[in-house]
Amino acid sequence: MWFKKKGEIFAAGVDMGSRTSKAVVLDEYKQVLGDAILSTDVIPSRSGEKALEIALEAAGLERSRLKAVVATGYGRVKAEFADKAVTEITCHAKGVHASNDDIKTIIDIGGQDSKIIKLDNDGSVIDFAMNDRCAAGTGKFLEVVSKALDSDFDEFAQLYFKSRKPCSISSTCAVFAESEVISLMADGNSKADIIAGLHKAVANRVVNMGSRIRLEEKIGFTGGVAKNKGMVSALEDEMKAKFTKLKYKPQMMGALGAAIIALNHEAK
Amino acid sequence: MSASQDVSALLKLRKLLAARPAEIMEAKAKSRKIIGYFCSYIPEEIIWASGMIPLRLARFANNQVAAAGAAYLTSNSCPFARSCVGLKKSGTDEYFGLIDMVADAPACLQMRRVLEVWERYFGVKVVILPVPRRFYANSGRDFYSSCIEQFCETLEESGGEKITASKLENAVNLFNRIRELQRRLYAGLRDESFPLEWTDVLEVIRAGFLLDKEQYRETLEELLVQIEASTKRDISNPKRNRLLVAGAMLAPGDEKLATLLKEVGGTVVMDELCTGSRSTFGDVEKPDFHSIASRYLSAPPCGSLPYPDPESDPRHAHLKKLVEEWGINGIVYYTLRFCDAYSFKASHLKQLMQSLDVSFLHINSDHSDSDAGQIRTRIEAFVESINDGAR
Repeated sequence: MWFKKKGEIFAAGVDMGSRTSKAVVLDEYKQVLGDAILSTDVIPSRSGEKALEIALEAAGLERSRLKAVVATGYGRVKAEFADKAVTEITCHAKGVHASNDDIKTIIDIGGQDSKIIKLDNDGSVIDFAMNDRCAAGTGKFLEVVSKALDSDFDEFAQLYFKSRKPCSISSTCAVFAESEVISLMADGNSKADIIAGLHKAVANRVVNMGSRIRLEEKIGFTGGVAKNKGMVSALEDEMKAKFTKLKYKPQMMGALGAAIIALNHEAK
Repeated sequence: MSASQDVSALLKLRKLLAARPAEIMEAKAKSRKIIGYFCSYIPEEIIWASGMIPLRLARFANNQVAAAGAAYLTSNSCPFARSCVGLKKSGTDEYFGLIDMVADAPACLQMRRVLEVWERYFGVKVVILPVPRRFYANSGRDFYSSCIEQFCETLEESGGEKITASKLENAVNLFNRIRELQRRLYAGLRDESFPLEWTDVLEVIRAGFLLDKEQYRETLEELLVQIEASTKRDISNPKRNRLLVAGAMLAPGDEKLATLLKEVGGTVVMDELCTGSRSTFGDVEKPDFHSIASRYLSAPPCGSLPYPDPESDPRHAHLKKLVEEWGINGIVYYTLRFCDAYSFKASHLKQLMQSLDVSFLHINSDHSDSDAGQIRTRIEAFVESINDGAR
């Protein structure tokens, strides 16, 4: 997004996810004037409002200047501060399409869910598959594993690429992930091989979820887990296709999409 | 729902329903027999003609009662099957307690097992009419016709009256008329100004499972007259999504899907459900066993019955027709957890619908509320995508 003259009409989108809450403030040219991300607390709408405050501050705008605020994410239903609630599926589609309009498939891996969204040429959702009932194949799984291995996310990517022989993982159940990791370590496997194996298992799980939705290029990767380069590589291997780099932050796509919808919102 | 308030026949239906259990008990005291059944392949006409009272049992139990049912089946069995067993065992549903005998024509294995359990463990007399796998062939119709003839004799032996030609004719005419009136209700949903909503029509269909058939027919006639005369709904803001809910069982005790659809702005204008429109289609041509068999076997089939050729599958043809005639742009395909039969057919139906430019969402769930949040997100995203005009 190139910075043109700052517009006159402003709107915001707030994505309250299970782990993080994100906010984006836009002008009518869809330029990001301010954004924010913080941990979601026990009451998601609180974190959502806080994220909005921070994004507004960064944009140098008062709340009253906003045409509308759209809420998305798991916390959207109880977001009293928003004018409208829209699902994260629709918001991710809008956000990604605004960023890269040639993307036809979105793979989104968040804190507690993963989804695959198919778009048409206009960026409208034509199909989707979700896993939001089980932590396998989500950020949660990787978190559990990172604790068990005492490695943080940044190390993950480094170690992934150092692996010579990725371990074969029998279960991607987050509840049993810790014991799985311990037994793999006890068997003498290197951290790198274990991490690579786990990433591949997650990639396999996510791509299989979309098996009834044909993955069509260009493909985009969104969600907090998209920052993990090891995961990017594991998914690309599994899909046998490369991701298209997004022009804006992958974790903020939901909030971006919500903000775009807010720009078009007509108050009743 | 507000437009339906000036339709007093709906209120009358509810009153009749409230009084029904007591009415049945009075009938029992006069030695009338109550025949319970679950599946729509049972020829109700025969039960009625024998002077016995047919009651269709269709409800979902709460988790606790369904778990009691699972003890006799497996915890991986269909929630409807678990409910049918659990409700009988727990004695928490008065209709279940009023049944003297069960006559059923199960198309699927789960219901077959339910009948075995009722007989073996609850000591209820069970009569089974086997639905022929080759329901589309003449051999299947001939077979079912002989089953129906046998059914008449069985009912007579169980305390029913002798089924004369005129009793059969009256019964056939009565049930044909009921179906015609029900079809008119469903047809009304095509028009956005219709004073009833889909959930109202569903309520009327469900009432028909339990009420006295003559009384029901009379009330349906009144209902349709009142609808003609009542205020039309405001259609200045036409809804962009026109949905069809397809599947097998949607029954009292499972309100999650209908409630969520309404909450997220989904407009359901038709269904293809066993406990909905399915049994309203197709009439009996002549009052004889073969015609009755033909009607039941050529009505839109239960999804659990196998059909060899997808190109000529009558269920697909029926769905296509509904999509066209009701102007459907999205189908919510609701399968019960552990119902393999219906779930197996989901992908093919999805492809078929997508080729017709109709959006398709497969929801695999059960009557419990534990996944309401997840189901809501899916349905909401689905409705958003249709409203967005992706198609």
